[in-house]
Amino acid sequence: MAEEITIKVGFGDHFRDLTVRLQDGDIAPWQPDQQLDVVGQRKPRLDAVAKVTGTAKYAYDQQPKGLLHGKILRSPHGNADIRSVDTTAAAAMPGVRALLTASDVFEDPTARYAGAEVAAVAADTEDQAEAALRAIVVDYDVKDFCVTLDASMAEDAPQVGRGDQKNVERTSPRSRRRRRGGSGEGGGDQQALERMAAREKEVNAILDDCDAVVEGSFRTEVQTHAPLETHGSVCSWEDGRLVCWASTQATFGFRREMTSNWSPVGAQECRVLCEYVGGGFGSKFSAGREGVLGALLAKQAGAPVKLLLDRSGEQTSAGNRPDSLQKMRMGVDKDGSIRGFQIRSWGTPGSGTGGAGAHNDGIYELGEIDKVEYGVRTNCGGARAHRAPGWPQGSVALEQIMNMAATAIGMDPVEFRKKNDSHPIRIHEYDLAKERIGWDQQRIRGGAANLCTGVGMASNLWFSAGGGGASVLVRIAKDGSVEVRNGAQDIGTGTRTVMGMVAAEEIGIPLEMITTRIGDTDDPQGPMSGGSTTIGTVTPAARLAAHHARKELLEVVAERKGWEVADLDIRKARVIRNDGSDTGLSFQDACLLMDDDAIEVLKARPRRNYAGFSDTNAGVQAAEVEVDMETGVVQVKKVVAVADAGKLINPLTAESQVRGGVIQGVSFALHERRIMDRHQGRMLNDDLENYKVLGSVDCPEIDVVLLDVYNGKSNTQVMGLGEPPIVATAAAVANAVADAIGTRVFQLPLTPKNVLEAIAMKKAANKPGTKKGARL
Amino acid sequence: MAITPESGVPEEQRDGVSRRTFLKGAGAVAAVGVSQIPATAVGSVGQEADVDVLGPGPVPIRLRINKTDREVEAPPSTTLLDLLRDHHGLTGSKRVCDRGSCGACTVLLDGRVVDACSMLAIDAVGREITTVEGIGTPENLTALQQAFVEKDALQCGFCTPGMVVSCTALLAENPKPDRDQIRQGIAGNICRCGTYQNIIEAVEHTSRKGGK
Amino acid sequence: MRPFQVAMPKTVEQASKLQQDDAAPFLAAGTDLLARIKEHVTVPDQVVDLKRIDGLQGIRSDARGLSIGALTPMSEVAENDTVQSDFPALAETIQNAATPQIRNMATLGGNLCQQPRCWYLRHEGYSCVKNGGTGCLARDGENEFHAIFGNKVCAVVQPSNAAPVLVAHGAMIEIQGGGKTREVAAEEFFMTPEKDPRRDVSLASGEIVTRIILPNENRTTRWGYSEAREKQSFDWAQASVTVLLDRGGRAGDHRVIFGAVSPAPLRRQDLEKVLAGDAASADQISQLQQKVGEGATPLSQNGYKVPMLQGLIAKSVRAAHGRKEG
Repeated sequence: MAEEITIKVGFGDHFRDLTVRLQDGDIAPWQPDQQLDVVGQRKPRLDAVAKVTGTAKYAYDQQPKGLLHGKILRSPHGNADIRSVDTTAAAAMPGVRALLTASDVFEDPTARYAGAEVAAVAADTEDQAEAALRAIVVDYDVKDFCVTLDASMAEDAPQVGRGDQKNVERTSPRSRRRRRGGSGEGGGDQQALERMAAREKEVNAILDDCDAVVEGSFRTEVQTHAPLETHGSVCSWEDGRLVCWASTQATFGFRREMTSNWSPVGAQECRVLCEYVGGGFGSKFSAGREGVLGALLAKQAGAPVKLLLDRSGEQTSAGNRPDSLQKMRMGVDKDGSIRGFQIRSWGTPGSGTGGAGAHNDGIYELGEIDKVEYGVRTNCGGARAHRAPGWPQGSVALEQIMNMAATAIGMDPVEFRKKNDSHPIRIHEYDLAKERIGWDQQRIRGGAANLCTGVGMASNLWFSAGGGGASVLVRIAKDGSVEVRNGAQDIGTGTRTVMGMVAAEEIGIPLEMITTRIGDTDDPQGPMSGGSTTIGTVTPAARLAAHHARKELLEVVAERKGWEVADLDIRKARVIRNDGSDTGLSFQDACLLMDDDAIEVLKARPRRNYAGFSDTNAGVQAAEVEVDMETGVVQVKKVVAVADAGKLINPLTAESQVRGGVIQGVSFALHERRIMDRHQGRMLNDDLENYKVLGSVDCPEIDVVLLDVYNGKSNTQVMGLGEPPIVATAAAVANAVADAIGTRVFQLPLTPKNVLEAIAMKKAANKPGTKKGARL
Repeated sequence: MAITPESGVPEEQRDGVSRRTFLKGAGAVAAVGVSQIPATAVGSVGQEADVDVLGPGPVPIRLRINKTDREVEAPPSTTLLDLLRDHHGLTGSKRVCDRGSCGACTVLLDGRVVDACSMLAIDAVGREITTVEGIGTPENLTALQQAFVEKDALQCGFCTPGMVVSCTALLAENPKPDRDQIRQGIAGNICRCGTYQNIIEAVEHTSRKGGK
Repeated sequence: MRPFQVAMPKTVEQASKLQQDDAAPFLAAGTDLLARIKEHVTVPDQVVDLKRIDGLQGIRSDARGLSIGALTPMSEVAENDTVQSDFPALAETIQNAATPQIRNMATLGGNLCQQPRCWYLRHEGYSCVKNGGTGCLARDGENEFHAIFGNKVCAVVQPSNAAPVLVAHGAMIEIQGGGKTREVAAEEFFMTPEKDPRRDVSLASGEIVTRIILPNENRTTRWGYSEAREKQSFDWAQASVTVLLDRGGRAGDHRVIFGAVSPAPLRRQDLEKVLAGDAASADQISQLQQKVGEGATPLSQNGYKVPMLQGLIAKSVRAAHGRKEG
């Protein structure tokens, strides 16, 4: 029964017809000529009042009766195995109700970084829990450690891992998969090495043939997520059922971790509640060791336990964006075409090697690419997905070498980008960004002046139309109340509000008449807040459920009034006819005609996306900076962010998403880095004083330009906007700083130290970049 | 375990001893209770008066919070923030850095912003404490809170109570702040989601309308 | 936080005795001490809360100058009319320090006596010459924010950004304890590790800073203060330069004090001599800049502080020269 329809896709002056085959009983996407009453309006978020009055209760704020306080003992050593843990004294301390060691719970009880979990205690008060932790006696087998990329890559570096784990391992291209019990990895890797060598030779030849080759070695630092609400949960076992108030960005994932066969918790049943989350940014997909320990302490104690990390635990153990070292060579011809690109990159994701990749070979048409990536093990807390994982650091390197290439051939950096860009939306965004940042204005650039200004540009790309995995329940009650439910969480993106807006639009009532329920795994399945796909996953289900709920209501009306159902619609809470005339029946009165208490419709999102206008959403950002040449202090004055988010549901919260991405990007560009101690292997800035997060005085003016794109990918056509805006910001700032000071700072963050050192280097050398560089 | 505001036993009934006068004549107006006075500390110093030594166990602490006197027992080492959250259930003020770096625990002490995490509750005795709960309610938002809502000056919302308190004080001290003054006024409040610009717009909007 | 007793003396003498008997730390506002207790770098069984001692708060002027009670909150100092008119450099540095919340809480006395922000010193589990052990971990460790002058024994930097301004003004620190009252010049008050690495300031056990006195004889309208830091919203200075010209209207009575680059505010008499010449000229500034790094012994990660000081001295000298004689 798949229906084929023709829709218009595109934006502005760029529309075209597209024929799509509707699937799974789906409905047609909104069309450009369609009058929408709620969608597209700037709506304050539905939970704003609770948040501004302090009445919103987060996991951190839950205080069930009899609450105990959990705390985790962490290893102070850079690298250790644990010989034994003696908890005798601790267990006898006042107020102690439960006690666990890592080896009681986890398969790997080694302490491979300073901050690794060793034991956990629950006690009547925090002070008692703290005192008990200090009474635990641990016999550590302390080993040498590496806590930085350079230390771990050094020739005689101590082994970070265990067994035959090497410190540096190639992660891409991969060897052919090892055959079980077969001839071993040698053969597979030998072939990969041969392919890599051939590729290198080929791209070297192309570069040798280019008009210009530029090269650079770029570094970015480890960035922690630093959500204001730390990781963890309040857990309570109620008649054998585990209830967790969790600070999570995956309510259903959290439940799975509590109930799966492989879970050390092994709960038969679990309900996860999470109405509010104090930030996640990618770090809260997993319940983590703290989630597991909290649930088990509560079980042992037979009382609710609050185990949310302290700030130090959060900074050291709850995830980060890996650092990067990216060595690049780019070959261009005088006409501006990029012909070849060589990349070698390294990153440290903690004691493992996966997840340190830098996305530095996307976005543009980059010619022939020869890229090899390595993961570098360090004795540090593990990386977790962090708002556009791999992209901001990749972009910092890619966009800077793009500028260097443009300079080498004497081309304007924006024209150079346009020349190598084929994105159907982004190609129209450059001039918008250029105009709004004042690209061509006269500026005081590097030289004798004390204050210099500069501009820089960078692009982003994302893939966030969403997918299957959400169901939404719409309930229209006889009293006219409407409830929309989905069990997923809203981590501050505005999902709750947008879900309500889509349902309101579809039913034909104002948003104010809708109640939304989220963050409860007893409600219908919802996605994790990841990949910027939440909105694109949840809203099509909401619209479909609302569509059918309205249809059922109109069937009741038609039947009771003797009207033709096909002639009826609901608009602005009135029942109207197709010609627009009012039937005299309000929505409320229509609801009263029901025999049942309510109409309830549960619908899943259609699984696949349609071809659409573009598979990706795109953006361009331009930054203007002012650099104090005497102190090296960089102020980002303004960032213009042009962004595409598919169909805009709520421009107010969409703008906030973009501003948030830009602010975190500026913070990454100017301030953020983890500082590890060479003496003991500990994180020295495990706080919010020395780990510097952008504040109000450093925040630039942010000019957001949102395109409203009918992309046709789903019935709501919306694309998520959490991640894309952070991709380009730091790169645009870095390019702007180079423009201002007349030399490039190859090392992020752009601190006074790094800027002053770059200026000093330039003074010392004062030589332009070489045309043809050495092999990487 | 959580002590509700109502659970405080009237002072006169506790131990049958009134402890109200122990700080008479001191600089601060005191209504702090004493318990477990260590004999070694009492009377060991000077001739003119005894030195009061509190704790380390719980002592009655009476504070004026949001225009109401409220008393609970807590160790004298308890920070104002922990007392508000854990003993009075006022969880609007957040514990984020616990070191005075982030402003999520901002409350007003006699009308001025302070980090509740970085002072002892007993040092707030006799002073007027205003938490976010005392600024406006869901049914009765202040103009500033309303502007926060309309300008979307919040995302995850965890910094929001502290921001609301800081901006309330800012407008009370300077009803017509310029942009730089607003930035400086919230320089002690970290927002990780990135709502600074929206907050500035909300304050400007409130200021233009002459509200608070 | 580890529970502790709180003693509440009503007089300075009581407080003094309490500390002498029990080695109990003084608590002024608590912004520094409570953080150290939470970090377990200070583990007192008792603290001595100074808040209930009369007479330690408030600002008053007399013939000698301005007298600031040690427990006066930083914001009150910065907002005081006389401080703003007579000692504007002090008002400005304080207004730049910390956050609005901390300025309302922290006291000027506490600000001067706070523990340096060295991340080794303020983390549990490190032992160095400052806390009873030997050596300096920053010297061959992570030292980006540490001292480039006077850093042989210990490389902490004096964290108060009011301190260099007080030194420049020849402020006197009034100290009471053990039945005695004494005054010490701000320049002598801040300890160098060579003198005593264990102590940040020259206070004996049981001694309390009671007042900070800014003598009128060293007032000047020709001042310049500049600092650089990574974050403009709440951060610690990486370096600062205070310049006072013609103090008390005495031609050639200049002060150049560096902050955040040494364990105590650093007076640079050699630079003062350069300034004693003519009005600011590009030539004079470049002469100063050339000399700024003399005596510096940068560590592996903090050599940038020398060019930073070169920039800051230019800013401060330009600012001081740009201000009219009053």
